[in-house]
Amino acid sequence: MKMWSKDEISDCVRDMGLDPFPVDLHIVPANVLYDVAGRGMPGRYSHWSHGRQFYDGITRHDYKFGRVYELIINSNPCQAFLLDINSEIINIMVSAHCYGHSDYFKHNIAFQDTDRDMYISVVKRAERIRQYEEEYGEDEVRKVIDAALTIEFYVDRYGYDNKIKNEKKEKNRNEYDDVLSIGEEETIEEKDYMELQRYSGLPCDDILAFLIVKAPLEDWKKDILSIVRQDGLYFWPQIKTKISNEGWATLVHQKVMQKLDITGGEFIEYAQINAGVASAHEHAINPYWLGLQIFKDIESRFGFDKVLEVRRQEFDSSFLRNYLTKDLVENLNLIRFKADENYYKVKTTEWQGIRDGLINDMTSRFPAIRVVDTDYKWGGQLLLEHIHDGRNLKRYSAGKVLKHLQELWKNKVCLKTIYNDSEVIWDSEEKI
Amino acid sequence: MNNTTDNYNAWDLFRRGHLDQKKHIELIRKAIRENITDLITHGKIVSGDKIVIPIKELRQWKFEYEEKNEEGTAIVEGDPQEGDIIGKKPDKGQGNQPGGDGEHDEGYFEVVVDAESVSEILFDDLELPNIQKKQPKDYFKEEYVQESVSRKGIMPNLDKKRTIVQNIRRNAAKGDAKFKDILDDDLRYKADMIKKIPQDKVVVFFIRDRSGSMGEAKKHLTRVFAFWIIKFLKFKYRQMIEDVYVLFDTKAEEVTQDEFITKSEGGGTKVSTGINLADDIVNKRYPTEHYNIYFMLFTDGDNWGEDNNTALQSIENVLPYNNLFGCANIKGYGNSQGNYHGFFSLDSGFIKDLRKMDKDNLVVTDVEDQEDILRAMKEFFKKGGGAK
Repeated sequence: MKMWSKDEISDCVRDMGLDPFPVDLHIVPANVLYDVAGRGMPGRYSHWSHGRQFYDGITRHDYKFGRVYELIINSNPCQAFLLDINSEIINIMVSAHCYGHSDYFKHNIAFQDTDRDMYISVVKRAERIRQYEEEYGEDEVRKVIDAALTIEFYVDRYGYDNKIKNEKKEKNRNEYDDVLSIGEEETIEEKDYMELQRYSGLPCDDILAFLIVKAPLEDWKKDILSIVRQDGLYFWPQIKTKISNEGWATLVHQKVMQKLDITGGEFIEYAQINAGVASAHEHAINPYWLGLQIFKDIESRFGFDKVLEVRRQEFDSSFLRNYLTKDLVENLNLIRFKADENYYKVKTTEWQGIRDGLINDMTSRFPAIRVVDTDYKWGGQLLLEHIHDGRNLKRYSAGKVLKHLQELWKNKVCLKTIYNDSEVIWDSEEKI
Repeated sequence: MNNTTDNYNAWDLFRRGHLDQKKHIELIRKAIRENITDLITHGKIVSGDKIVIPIKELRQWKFEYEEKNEEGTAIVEGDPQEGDIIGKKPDKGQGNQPGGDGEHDEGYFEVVVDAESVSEILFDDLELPNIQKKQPKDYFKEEYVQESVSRKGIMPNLDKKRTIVQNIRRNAAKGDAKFKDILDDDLRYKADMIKKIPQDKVVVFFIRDRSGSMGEAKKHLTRVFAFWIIKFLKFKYRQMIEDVYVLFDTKAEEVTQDEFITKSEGGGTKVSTGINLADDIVNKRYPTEHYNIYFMLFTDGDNWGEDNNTALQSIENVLPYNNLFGCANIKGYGNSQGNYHGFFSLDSGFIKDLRKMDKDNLVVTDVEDQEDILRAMKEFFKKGGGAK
């Protein structure tokens, strides 16, 4: 087989019509890959939950289950991490897959205002956290991070925050050029509580921002909250586009592999991996697979130019709404199921119900919760409201979250929700 | 393909993965330590040595949905109809403890713990009473022990400390107490000796009522209790314990550990048969002057009235050679007809009489649920003997 270099893969995808950011490929040992996968980003601050995900990742890797083949970070240039024990053929496939992702990050509207220097920013923030640990103690810092992580994704997900930040960044370009100033300089967000004032009106979805502005906390604790918030903001576009992003990258790697001259054993190996990655799973829809099917369907109906347009314009919700058609649902044999006490049962075979159910899954992964009052019961208690969509919250974990939030708010924190059809208010001091 | 090869040293930042993991493991250890008794009260025995315990405080908490009524998308070929079953939900916990609270199952993640490795922390405050050192001539274990110091030996066996001391002594005698000028004479070596270490011989008899009245819940408690007793004894004696299993209803038989855990038959109850069989076995295989003997009787108090006196007599017969006779009165959780959560049962006539016997090496303790087991073990094995 002819061996392909990174440049050749890059040329190949450009020939197809893609326009990716350059990709830095790092071949790394498993422990590094899983470290990155565990914390979501290389160099991100250290937290025990990352240790747990790292442990889970390594254990699964050792048992040859659910191996992470690659990890790619949205930045310019894209940082991609490949497992060092992958064979050549796998690495070619994975590299092509990464170029697909890179192209998506560059062009999809969800990513327009993301921080392309994230991998630098993240290291700086980790350094600040480390300094706080030295000054205030690891336990104190951990408590704040634990609390912040309970609402990690309750941040402005519409991108306004990123937009403003990037505009400012352009004005202050020099500050970011010198990576060696890690730890010395203070980045914008921690000084910009004035900007965050925008989030202090009620009701408020961006709970982290709200707490940064309104909670009676020391500056260093607010800084930690803002760091966690930045991570949440960074990941949101990826959450919103999982299916189409993965489908796109899979389509790209398949097309690239078709151009290679592979035979025999190598082909089988590729086919197996591709099958594993791109196949359907029982009871859990595989985003790689579904996204791929939809893109292939678009290509066969409208041509590749349309595909390029779609990967630019659509989030998962619109991607599914517009392109998961009746025909496709039927050809793919999809159904919507619902669980009762003991079994999974077919809820509907009607295509719109199936499609809408899927969209709902994608868009309401996190329960919708917002701040609605800061002086509940006229005692300075914080009141949160859950917008109920038919699904109850878990009582125990909600109680735990509220307790954590109380540590930040320094007063009782309550949650209004509906449980088994009646309105209830849970609070942070109740025994659970 | 030309890959970007990286110098792994450049990834120093990434040893963090292991550091994070260490942190995580530390927290687990801390949680286990602080809730060590959870191993006994809530642990699920999964195999020989491994216990699964729920660690509830180490989850990263989030707002999340309940899992019942969960929905999803699946691929089903053929012609599925509304209402068709496409799969079964995974079982929530096998070998359920009675009274398991659905709410408390949430938010736990499970850790598999090696029972041996946590034994020390766990068993710290329990101590076996009445360990009589019964050591006949043959029961020794040979061990290499560093017992003496010799002036001859090979370099790997050099006892550096003693050599230095010797050297300084010699120099001091000459008026200059310093370590210098080593002579052959200074050299000291460790010498291994084979030492005979007396072994304690221990045997535990587990005797259980297998009549129908011992339902699933009670058998489960018996199993867990027996498991921890063996673990504890092995740990304290630091060697293999011999274990014998006896089941009885109106007749008794010796069985394997597995059968002890699982077998159950209808029928009446005659405790005396179990005790007598165990006694027989002792006479045949475990000379009392050589063995430390423990009898553990598991009963739910039931006994045929006409057998009561015989049973008490048979127990009296075996007490003299027993280091400890423990009777676990498994009560509360109903009978073979079903579970009666919180059903309160009075002491049976048999148990009442047993308690009256008032002997130093006889302990009767109630066990209602898995949480009682730790307390029961403490009663049996209180430090310094004196079982009451």
